[in-house]
Amino acid sequence: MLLQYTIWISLIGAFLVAMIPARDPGSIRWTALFSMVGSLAVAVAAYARYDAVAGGYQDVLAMNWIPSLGAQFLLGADGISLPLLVLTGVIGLTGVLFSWNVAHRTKEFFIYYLILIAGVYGVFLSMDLLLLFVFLEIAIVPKYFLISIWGSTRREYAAMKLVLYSFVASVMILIGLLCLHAQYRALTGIHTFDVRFFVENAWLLPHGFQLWCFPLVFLGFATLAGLFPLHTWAPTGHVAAPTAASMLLAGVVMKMGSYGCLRAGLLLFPHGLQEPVLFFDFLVPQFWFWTFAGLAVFGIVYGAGASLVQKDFKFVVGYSSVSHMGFVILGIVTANALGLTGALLQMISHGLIGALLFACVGRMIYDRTHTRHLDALPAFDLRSRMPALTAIVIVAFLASAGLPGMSGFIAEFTVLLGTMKVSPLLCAAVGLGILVTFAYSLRLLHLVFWTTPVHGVQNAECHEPLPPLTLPEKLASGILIFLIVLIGLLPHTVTGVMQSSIEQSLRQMNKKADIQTPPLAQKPSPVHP
Amino acid sequence: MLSALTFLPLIAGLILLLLPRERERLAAPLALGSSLVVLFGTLVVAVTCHQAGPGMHHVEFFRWIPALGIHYFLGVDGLGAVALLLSALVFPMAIVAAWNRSQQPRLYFVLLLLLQTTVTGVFTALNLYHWFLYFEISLVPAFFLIKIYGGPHRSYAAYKFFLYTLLGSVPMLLAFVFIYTRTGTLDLVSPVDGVSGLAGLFFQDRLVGEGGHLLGRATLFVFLAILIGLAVKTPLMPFHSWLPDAYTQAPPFVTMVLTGVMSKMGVYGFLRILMPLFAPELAAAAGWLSWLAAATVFLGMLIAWCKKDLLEIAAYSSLSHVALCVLALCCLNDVHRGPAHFAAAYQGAVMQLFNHGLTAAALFFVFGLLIARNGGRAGIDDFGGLRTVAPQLSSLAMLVIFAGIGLPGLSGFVSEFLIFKAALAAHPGAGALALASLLPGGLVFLRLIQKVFCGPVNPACAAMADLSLREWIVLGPVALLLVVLGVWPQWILNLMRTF
Repeated sequence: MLLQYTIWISLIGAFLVAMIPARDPGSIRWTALFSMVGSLAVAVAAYARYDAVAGGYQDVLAMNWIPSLGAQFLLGADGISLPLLVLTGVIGLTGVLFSWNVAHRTKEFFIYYLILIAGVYGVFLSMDLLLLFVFLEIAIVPKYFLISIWGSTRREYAAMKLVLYSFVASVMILIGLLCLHAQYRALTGIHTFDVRFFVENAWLLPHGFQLWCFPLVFLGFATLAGLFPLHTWAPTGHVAAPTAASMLLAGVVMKMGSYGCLRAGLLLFPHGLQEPVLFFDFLVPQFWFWTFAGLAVFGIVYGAGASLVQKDFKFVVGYSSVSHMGFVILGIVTANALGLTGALLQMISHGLIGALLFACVGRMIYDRTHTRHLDALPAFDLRSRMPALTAIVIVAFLASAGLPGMSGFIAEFTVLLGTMKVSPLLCAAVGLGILVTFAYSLRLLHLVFWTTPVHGVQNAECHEPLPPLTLPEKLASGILIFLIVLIGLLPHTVTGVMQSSIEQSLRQMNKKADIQTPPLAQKPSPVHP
Repeated sequence: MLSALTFLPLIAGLILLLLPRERERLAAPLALGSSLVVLFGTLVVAVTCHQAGPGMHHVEFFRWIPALGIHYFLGVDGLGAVALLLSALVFPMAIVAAWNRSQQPRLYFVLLLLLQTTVTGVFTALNLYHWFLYFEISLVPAFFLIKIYGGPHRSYAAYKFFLYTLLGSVPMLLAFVFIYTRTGTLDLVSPVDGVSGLAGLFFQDRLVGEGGHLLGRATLFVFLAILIGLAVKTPLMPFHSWLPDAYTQAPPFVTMVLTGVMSKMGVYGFLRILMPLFAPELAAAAGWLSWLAAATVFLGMLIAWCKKDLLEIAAYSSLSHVALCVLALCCLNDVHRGPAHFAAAYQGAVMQLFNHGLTAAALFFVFGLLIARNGGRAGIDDFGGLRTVAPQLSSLAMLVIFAGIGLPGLSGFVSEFLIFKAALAAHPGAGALALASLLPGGLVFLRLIQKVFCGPVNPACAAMADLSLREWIVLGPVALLLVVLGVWPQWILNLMRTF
């Protein structure tokens, strides 16, 4: 089992950093960098070795953990989690590169950072849902410290808000998982949290049980994914976090939520989305589908609209994350192969783009100008003084807006393909979101780079020399932009791995269910333009 | 071959970006060199295409993202060859026109070359995704060209241009997505036989009974969504308001490309996508669509008449002339009149596409010269008597203007004649309205000639320089081409007869 070393390398890295005396920040950085390179190399090697045609879990590590509960230490990755593991490695690596200048308590910073990464790897690797939950909790603690110690704007508030939201979400998830466990014990007499067992036997679950347990688990994970209206931790948390932490938050932590929605929500409760809810069935059939899809689409438009009126550069990016994650949730709830592929592609794509955007604003701009206020930034005349930075920010925002040829477009296109099969009306609403996304991206570029400075904001600081882009910054931006364009032009590099795993999962999910109700995609949708 | 033509400008642009700052002077010659190579390649493509007869030629096909029906699929037929030829002619003009830009010359040429790549891509792509990709990306260099090099209100114009076009593109994208979910393909024609693909599927679908089973009741919505996207780009009357801002705020050498090539992307979309796929819907919509087009033709000219600014006059007359192409399209599906009628309308549309692209580019080039020489003053009253001050400039400018009016013997006449002939037969009312635009059109330009080139010499421009060698190199061949097209239009009609 090769992939387990991603976790161990990150943890060993954290341990080594803890051993290095704090007066030697150089060694600390290099240690962190090497452990991130190592874990990324492991993830890439596993990615290359994975047999995409066969699909499914191929290399599994199974050990006893808590036999009395039936919980096992089960690690493994299929085509759905492998790309996310590589994404985690890439974001982890670039995050270290963008944190090269962290001078305040460097040692502790990288310890928390590496533990957080280990937790994220663990979530994507766990095949045992209790283990997944434990890794999810492991990731929460370092997030709190990273924000509250190294953060900026209202950091204590943001850190506390993020942790409280995470805990409430965790409680929902835990209750849901324990109920699921108990339900299966009652049905089959087997103690287990093995996700493969759950997926294979999902058709056994009584519909009434699925109707309340599904939204519990799904909403728990969706909170982490930033689903409207449970998203409010995201913008404040992203803004307060230090650069590397906000890259991780937007890049992979939100993806843990959406990954959970898919793996522990959709696939384990095949009827959750489709059944009418008692008392509401006269309103809408497929109550939870319409609820979650509606919230996702509203989140897309709302997040974009909120970005359009922000005054703080980082809040623009923060709300844009909420908007982009709406596409992921929408893709997941369509519950067809195209929608799921699109959702996964959007997770990868937004992971890269979101990380690049936060690196732009948090590291490359803020650390030079010491302001993120959109009224103050024009005074620095970044366009003529830092042309390379300007080009990077423009590319990042065009990618974020979904310019064809970059990863964001193909991901959103695939989600739209999946959604169109279910409801053209939802697609039309998403179209509005796409428009607003372009509008806020252009507005931001205009305000930062092409506005004449407001009189009175200018001060002496604006004319101090700005340090040029450093090598780590250029390198990390280069990696991210390269991957964004690569996926945009050749999405097959990512989707090829997912394809058969997604199809297998969907087949298992619809097994037996076919007899009882037709799958969602074939049901006559209520809207026919 | 087509891939090489598409990506050569992009590669040239990347090389320009790598030039050291002190070698920046090399940017213009390099850009011109690449565009001349493209011109040569396009001529080769056009000639071979013509010799090979009807159908798609120079087809390149490989499975790009097979899971989503997205293929890298290129090919040209007669229509594509004409459009390619136009873009290959206009880009060298635009590059020479901006030869001595002092403000960020390298970036200007890089953006222009990127634009050429996307435009070439639009004119050759035969997969809807692939086509849309270029269609959208072309907005980015155009946006920055307006935003960085434009006039005092450039920001407003650039954003309006970008967002307005996007407003049309989003419904179009959704329509393409919908088409894919229903048909499972995005190829306009099949790479194997050149017939099936979406065009063939839709055609067969219509033959079965009532027809229209593929898209069902959504057919009309899909048609309208694509129509809106193209109508914004072209533009047609209610969606035109981005045009005056963009065309007058962009520097003239950028507007040359905007009107000469980019507005043709809309017309090309009509001919390449809407007409083959939605012929019955287009025929059903022809009634009101022809009125819309005719209104654009007539009102555009009428507004131009009210304007005093050279660039505004050129912008509104351009609006009017491009809408003529759409008017011709409305006559295409008048099946009762037989193939000759169809051919006349189609040829009129394609030829107008080519003529107007060339004429409008030349017109903006000339007006740009005049304005630059007059210290940025653009009102027609700021000039006077140029005929005696700068005789060569005046003669060529007047030739271009006459071609724009559609004087017999010059290029505009042939295409306008074909279009009016078809329109008057198919839609007499709308045709008559469009025909009436000739009156304000003549008045606009005769007044312009009167005020600018004739009459007493305006002291402000008494010392105006005549054409330089560089300007001769641009205008000379174009003027020649306008005359040749007017006297002997058959060659371009032959070229496009391969549909």
